Amino acid sequence: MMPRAVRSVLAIARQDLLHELRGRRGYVLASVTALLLAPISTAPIPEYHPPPDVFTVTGDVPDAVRALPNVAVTEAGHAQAEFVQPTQGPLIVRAKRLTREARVALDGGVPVIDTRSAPREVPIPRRSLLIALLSAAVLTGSVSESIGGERSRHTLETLLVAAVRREQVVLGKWLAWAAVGGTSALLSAAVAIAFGRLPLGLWLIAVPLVAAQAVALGLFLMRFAKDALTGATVTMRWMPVALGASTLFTWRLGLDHPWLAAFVPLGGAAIAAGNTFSGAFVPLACIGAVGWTALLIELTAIAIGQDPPPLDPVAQRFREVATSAALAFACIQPGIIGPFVWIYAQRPDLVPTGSVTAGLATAATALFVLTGLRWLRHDRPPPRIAEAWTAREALVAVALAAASFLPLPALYTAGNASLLERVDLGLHPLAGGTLAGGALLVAQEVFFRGWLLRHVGVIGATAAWVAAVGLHDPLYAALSGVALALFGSRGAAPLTAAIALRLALELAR
Amino acid sequence: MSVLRAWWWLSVALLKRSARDGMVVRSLATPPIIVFGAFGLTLLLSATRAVHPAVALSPELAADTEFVAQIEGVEWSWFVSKELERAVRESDATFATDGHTLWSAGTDEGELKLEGFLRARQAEPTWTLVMPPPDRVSRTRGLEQALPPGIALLYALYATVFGVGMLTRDREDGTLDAEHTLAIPTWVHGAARWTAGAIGVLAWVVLSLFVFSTLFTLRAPLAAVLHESAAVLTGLAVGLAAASPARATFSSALAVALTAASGLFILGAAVPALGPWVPLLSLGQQSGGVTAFLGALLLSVGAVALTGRASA
Repeated sequence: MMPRAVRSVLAIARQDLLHELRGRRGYVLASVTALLLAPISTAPIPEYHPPPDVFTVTGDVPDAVRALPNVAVTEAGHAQAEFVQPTQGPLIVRAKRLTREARVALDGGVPVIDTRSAPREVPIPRRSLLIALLSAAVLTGSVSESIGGERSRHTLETLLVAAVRREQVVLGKWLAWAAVGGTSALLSAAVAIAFGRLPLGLWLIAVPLVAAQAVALGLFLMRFAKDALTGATVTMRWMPVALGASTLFTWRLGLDHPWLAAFVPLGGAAIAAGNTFSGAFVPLACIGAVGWTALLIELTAIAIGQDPPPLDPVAQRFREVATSAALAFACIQPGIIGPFVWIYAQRPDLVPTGSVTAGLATAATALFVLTGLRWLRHDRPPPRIAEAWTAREALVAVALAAASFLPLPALYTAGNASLLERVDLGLHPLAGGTLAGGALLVAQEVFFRGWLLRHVGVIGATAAWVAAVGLHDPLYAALSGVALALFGSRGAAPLTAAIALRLALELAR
Repeated sequence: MSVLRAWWWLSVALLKRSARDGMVVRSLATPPIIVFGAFGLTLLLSATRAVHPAVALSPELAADTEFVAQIEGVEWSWFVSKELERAVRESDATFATDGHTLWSAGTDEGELKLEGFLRARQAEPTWTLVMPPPDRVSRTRGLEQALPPGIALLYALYATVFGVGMLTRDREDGTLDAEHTLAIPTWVHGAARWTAGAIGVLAWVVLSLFVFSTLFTLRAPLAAVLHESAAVLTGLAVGLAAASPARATFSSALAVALTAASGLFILGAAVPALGPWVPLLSLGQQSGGVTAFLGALLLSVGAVALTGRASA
């Protein structure tokens, strides 16, 4: 006789599957799964034949090089190597690349410097990874319907007041879809083994665990979903990101620290299913996958019967400050600091001419777009709360300002004066000496002292200002932020006053 | 004056509705974030790996102070190893050398640089290796020709969808009927939708171009702005025109509009001679872009007129 709890779980699983797979929908899911997985399990991987490597040369090409196969003499400016024979001295070779054969020919048949390629042998996941990931991905719609659909049909309440525990409800729903995903993944893997595409191995244990973990994550993501559509949009946004990013991260981590990588949620099981690393990786990844799955089920069970906790006004305002700071940072800094990537890569010649102006213009445009969007979305400030500022906001502002006294990170100080200058442009855009700097100054005032100040008050607006632009000089940013906000929140035309004060501050520097 | 005021406020109202739809904002913000974010991150990661390669040297070579000074002069790090090949294969070093053999897991450029140093140690070299100056133009020209027009095409198709969506949605939910009770000319309804769509999409197009020009050289910025704006305005006009018949549903109008918009682009690729003059076809073409932009404005006027007449 089966225990009652197990019977409840099985009944919930059966009910979920019956509801979802009844009629045409069942055939559609089965057909889509089969259509996706059958070719992956059976098709051979075509062999890659690289095209012949043609070495283009120009100038005084020695006969020994000219006689080599796959050497093409071409016009100057289009060649990979240019040969110049001066009247005196050795032959000069200006080259972006040289083939091994050309080197040997130039050395007279015996290489003086013997160049050998020694790439790292990197274990690559096999096709079973794709089988496991796809088996999990095709369940997005069904898993979305599982909790979201019940909530929109108002049957979830009935289920929750019945004599079953929440864990059993979530476990039943998880079991239904984990079984479907796991079975389809195992069947596909079996077909691949039967066709000789994959060897038998421990990795088979990890294959169904990917779907099991993905279903648990899907249920967790939609724990507050009001209907299937909301649930589907949440899972469709996050599930591919979670699966893709964690798999890639695990693979990279596993190259150096396989034991650690085995315990990465989702990625550990996926890389184990791909039969990527040998040794204890697969058993450890399976243990990790079971642990993560259990944790996700428990967390979903805790939340499933509740509405999302409402934010109190103070927390809401703090969240507004944090979001605004992050968005403003994302608008201002990438344009200004972005071209530094070329300098960092030791290719300052690739920094576009006028990149400072372009960076300032990008920052100004992005900030104007952000302000426009925020204004269009929430044109009325939230209801005023009693406190002009909160301890949390003040603490953030003080902490950021205190950062002025910390030593600068090594990246700043290691002879990267140009980076420092670029970082400063966020706080002092007029230093760029272009009209775009003026546009950014106005955009910053419109956002921080125009829109944000009305919504979150002096301290909140200043905290966001310091976080967004005060990377290099947080103390100055904090002091100027408070002054501008106080100035901008009084008088008949506060925004104009703030812009005027900011201009005066910048010109006085 | 009151007509212009009505035009403005209707456009603002439409912009507000679009901005409050999270899906619209996310879809417009995605192309520049994904494209430039992925590019910047890739560049940063590659730079981190390629900038300061580590070189494993045999003990004998490490004793050559002149050679070591050359390595340090280009800000490469070095260490002594007895298992040179293994150091490269296990990613401890990018290059390894004992003075005669050079093991490499790095770029051609780094390998040639190190080989140049090694060859310079030879007593009487028969040939010397010189690194050519970097060719900036050819390195980024391909990206300039492909990336901005590609993103603009995407935005032109977005604009087409917006054009169709704004009109059919408002017709289905009765908003358009309500607007028609206002004492304003019927063309204002189409014009307001065109204005809202143009502001909404062009802001992101301009932003994408600015982001591009911070990372790469944009040689003809004005021409790029004109061509891309022409493409977006044409996409919007095609969408509005396709949805203007009173019986057009979203799906039928979208099918017509997307076929027309992508057909125009394909025509431009097939008949390059037409390219510089016709909006949307002109994406990626080398011309000033004024004709294409004026053409787009003309098409927009036609679409607005058609929308006003058909929706009345």
